[in-house]
Amino acid sequence: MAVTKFSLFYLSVAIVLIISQIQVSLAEMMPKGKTKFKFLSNIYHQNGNDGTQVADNSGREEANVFEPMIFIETQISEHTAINADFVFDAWSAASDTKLDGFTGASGKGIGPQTRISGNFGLRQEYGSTEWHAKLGFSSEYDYRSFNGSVGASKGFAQDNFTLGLDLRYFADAVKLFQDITPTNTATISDYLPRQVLAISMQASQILTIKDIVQLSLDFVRATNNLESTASTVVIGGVREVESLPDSRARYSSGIKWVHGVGDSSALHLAYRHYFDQWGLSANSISSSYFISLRDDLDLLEFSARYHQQSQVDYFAKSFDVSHSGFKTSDSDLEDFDSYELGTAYAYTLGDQQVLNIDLENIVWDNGVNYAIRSNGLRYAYWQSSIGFEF
Amino acid sequence: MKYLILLLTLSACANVPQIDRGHLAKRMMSLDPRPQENSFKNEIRAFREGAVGGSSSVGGGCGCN
Repeated sequence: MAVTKFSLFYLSVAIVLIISQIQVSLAEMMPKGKTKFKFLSNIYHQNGNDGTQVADNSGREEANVFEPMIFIETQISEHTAINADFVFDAWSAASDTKLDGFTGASGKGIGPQTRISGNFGLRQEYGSTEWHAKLGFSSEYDYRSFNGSVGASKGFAQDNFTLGLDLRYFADAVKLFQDITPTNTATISDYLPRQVLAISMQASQILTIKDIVQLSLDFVRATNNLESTASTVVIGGVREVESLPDSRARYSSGIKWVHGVGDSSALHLAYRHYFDQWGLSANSISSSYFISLRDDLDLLEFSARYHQQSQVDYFAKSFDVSHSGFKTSDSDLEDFDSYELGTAYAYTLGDQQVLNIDLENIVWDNGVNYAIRSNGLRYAYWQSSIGFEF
Repeated sequence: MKYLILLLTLSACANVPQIDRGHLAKRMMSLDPRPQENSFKNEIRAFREGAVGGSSSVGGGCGCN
């Protein structure tokens, strides 16, 4: 098993390095010295009363998240750009108050929790070949991560066909509750290791002057301590922490078709199939209709998505005392159908001078989405961003 | 193997000359017209659905418990 894992790892690294050596991608480069900046604010709310993993049997899954993001990219030479992104999360979750008498995982008293994360990257493009690399971190009370990624893409046949490959590795650590009986004095572990390796491949082909299609394949392997911090199960009427295997291999494949409808609108259709080592399989269909307004300055989007998944082999709403083996009641791992609708509008403000700085191509983008699942969870989020170049 | 055949089939498609790609250069024709916004959407789906993959959100914590 170990040989297989390491062989796969080295094969992936070799493929990425080979493509990188070809020296080639299609991501657009800016003039030297130019900088792109974007501030994106996300506000998320979810609610539901059927979460069988919640420790106090209420099933309440209310959560509120505020997540501002900053994206920066600077062109430092004709062929090279450096970039960074930063994320700050603040959130509160009803289920957090049910463990240890404080905030569940946080143990810092009832109130919002926070997370910070950042990524720093480099991107180079020579002709029709591009390669990129990133290093990142993330930190919250019960989770921390150090991660890196490398990838490349190359255009063939005058860039009609593009092939891309990405490899990502996460060296994460998670705190898990060990003893939750009784729940108000639950004890949490120190950081426990978790690793995630992800390999993805994309291929796109221009079909006509108004059609492009993309295929994607993904493999993700997560190992060690894969339980969720606050998820519990009922065994013979008594709450205990969930128990899941130390390894999960996950596979997905997808296809996306973009079709221009007339001169000022476009239809995006996508399908994805997923299956994993825990017995969960899923199908997702999504569509978006984009309308270009004001001579392509503004963009209006209407989107819809349907997702259906089966439950993992270890899921049950409750377990008998005689049950042995892995067990979870996490509603995210249950079988359900999910329906999502959304709309967004990107408004171009153009060039403006702010504090004696000439800002170009200022775009203000707002969007809302609403989703409902057949197992009781509902969520909605609002996204608002302002982006510009200077 | 079936994906390899599909890829080879796609790569054999008739080429569209660069001079004819004006329409494809529009933002609405991009494979991902709102990449930063979609990074948050993918994060939600990665942790609210058991079917991660096909997105950039595969680790690094969730900020959601």
